[in-house]
Amino acid sequence: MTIFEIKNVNYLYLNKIPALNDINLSIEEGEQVAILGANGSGKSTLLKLLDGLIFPSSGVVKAFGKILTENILDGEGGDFPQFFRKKVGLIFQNSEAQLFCPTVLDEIKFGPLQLDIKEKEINKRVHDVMEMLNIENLKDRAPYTLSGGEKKKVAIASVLTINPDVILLDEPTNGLDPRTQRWLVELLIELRKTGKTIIIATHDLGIVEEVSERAVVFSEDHRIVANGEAKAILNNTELLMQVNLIHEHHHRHEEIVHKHRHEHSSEHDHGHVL
Amino acid sequence: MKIPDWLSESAPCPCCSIGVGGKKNFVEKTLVEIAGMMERSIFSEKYANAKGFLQSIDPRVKLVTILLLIVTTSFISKTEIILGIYALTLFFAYLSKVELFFFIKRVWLFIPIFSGIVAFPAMFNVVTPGESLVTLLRFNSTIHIWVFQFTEISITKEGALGALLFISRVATSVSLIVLLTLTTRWVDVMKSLRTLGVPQIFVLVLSMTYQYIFLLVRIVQEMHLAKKSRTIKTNTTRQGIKKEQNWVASRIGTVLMKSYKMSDEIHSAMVSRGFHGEIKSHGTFKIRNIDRIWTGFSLAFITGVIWLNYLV
Repeated sequence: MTIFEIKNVNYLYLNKIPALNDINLSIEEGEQVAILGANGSGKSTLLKLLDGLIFPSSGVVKAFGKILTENILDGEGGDFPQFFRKKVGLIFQNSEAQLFCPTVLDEIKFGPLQLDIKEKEINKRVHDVMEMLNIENLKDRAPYTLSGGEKKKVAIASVLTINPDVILLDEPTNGLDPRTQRWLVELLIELRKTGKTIIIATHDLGIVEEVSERAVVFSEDHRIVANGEAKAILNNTELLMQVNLIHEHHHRHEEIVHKHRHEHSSEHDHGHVL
Repeated sequence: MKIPDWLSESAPCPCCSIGVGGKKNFVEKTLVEIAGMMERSIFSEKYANAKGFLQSIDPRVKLVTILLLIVTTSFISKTEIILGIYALTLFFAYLSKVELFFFIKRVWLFIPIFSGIVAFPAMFNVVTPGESLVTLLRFNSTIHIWVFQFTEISITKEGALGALLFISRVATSVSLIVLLTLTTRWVDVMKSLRTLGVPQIFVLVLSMTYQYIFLLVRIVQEMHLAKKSRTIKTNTTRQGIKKEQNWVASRIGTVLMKSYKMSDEIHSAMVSRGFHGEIKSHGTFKIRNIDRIWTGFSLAFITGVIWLNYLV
């Protein structure tokens, strides 16, 4: 079943700054897709479109066979808004914006409560998710007192309690220490096994192959320049260079200086692309 | 990538002229104080997490009974009864493991500033005529100013008692509300407001404002530190202070824009998780025996003081 279908979509911020340029894309149920692109290439905008938070300037975004419009997601869509919100969860890049409740427990409960899930079921989900992510000890803390990694965990928990079939993640490894990054990758691998559709916007090439089968590459002029098997795309160094995801680099290994192509996922954690 | 030559040159170091220390400028002092005040007064929740008497009472019950006590205090016209209520407040502060000195200081620090100014003129014969206690000035003829007529300026017994009644009433009410906020987590105070019929959206906006103030203060602090790390001259001169003031004014705009952008994103995050104009929540409070006993005591106490005030 096709979950998302995007046809000829353009998106302009403030009606003048282009963020997406003639995008065509479809995502099937149970797929894991990485959206790759340099900063500012339009990855976050695409995720917000898929989550029905913003709407295209031109073109069509279809989800579960229906065209996403402001009207259909805002009261006039009958049961569709609730159905859609239960099915699709977005984990924002900025955890601070996502965590708006007074305590971690309220935060994790917020989604299922709004979606009319029964109290007993909510309590079970909250308990299980907190146990799974090992954040029970944070339950009564205010989100603004948490560390970056803890905030990310709570943001993930707050979406997982909704139990969405589609999980959208915006730059999930950004600002996390290597250990938390690893934890996140392992979580995504586990979620992948449950058959969920996972769409990750990232420029962290190190995690792509582990968490997705397909990769969609955005160029800096906000177009899709490649769409295919993740492994093949990661091996296409010309393409990755062209979209500024990797660069030519002189590198020293003890006494030997050599030159190769290189990607940086963060300041000190980098991988070689040969 | 070619690095320009000047970037590899190091600036000469006139070590002997480098000053050490120096005062913080007003922007820094203000920011540090605001952040510190918020940390101390709102976010620390030191007493709210202590295991004391009032902390064990359901926040909704506590909120309602304390508000009733405040309303009662404003109806009482006998100073001694109000002072009795004040003494009881101190007693409950003690039972709730609140340091008495801190508690008294917190209440009385603001009383002279706010109610003191209001009560001060009422002590004099010009405003409250009556039996003179201390005469400050005596005039040879009657002085007419607007509606007031007087031949002397003195503190009257009625005026002093009136001022005492007013100040003790304010002090007791403030003590009660301080006691409530000290012994209850802010989150619980907010949730309890719902029981008083305060609309959900109002409570939500209030509690979100409270959290994001913290984030915004941090953003402002970081902006200031970023500026400080690139500022060489210390701004103690008049011109420097003016520059700082200009900087603050322009940053207010930036923070406003940042907070607007953030509010947009928060709204998106809420919509993404199913929010559509109305927040649904579960009550997690439970009424226990201690709450019933406290309610019974409060109602009996209120009846008692009203009886003492009006019937005895």
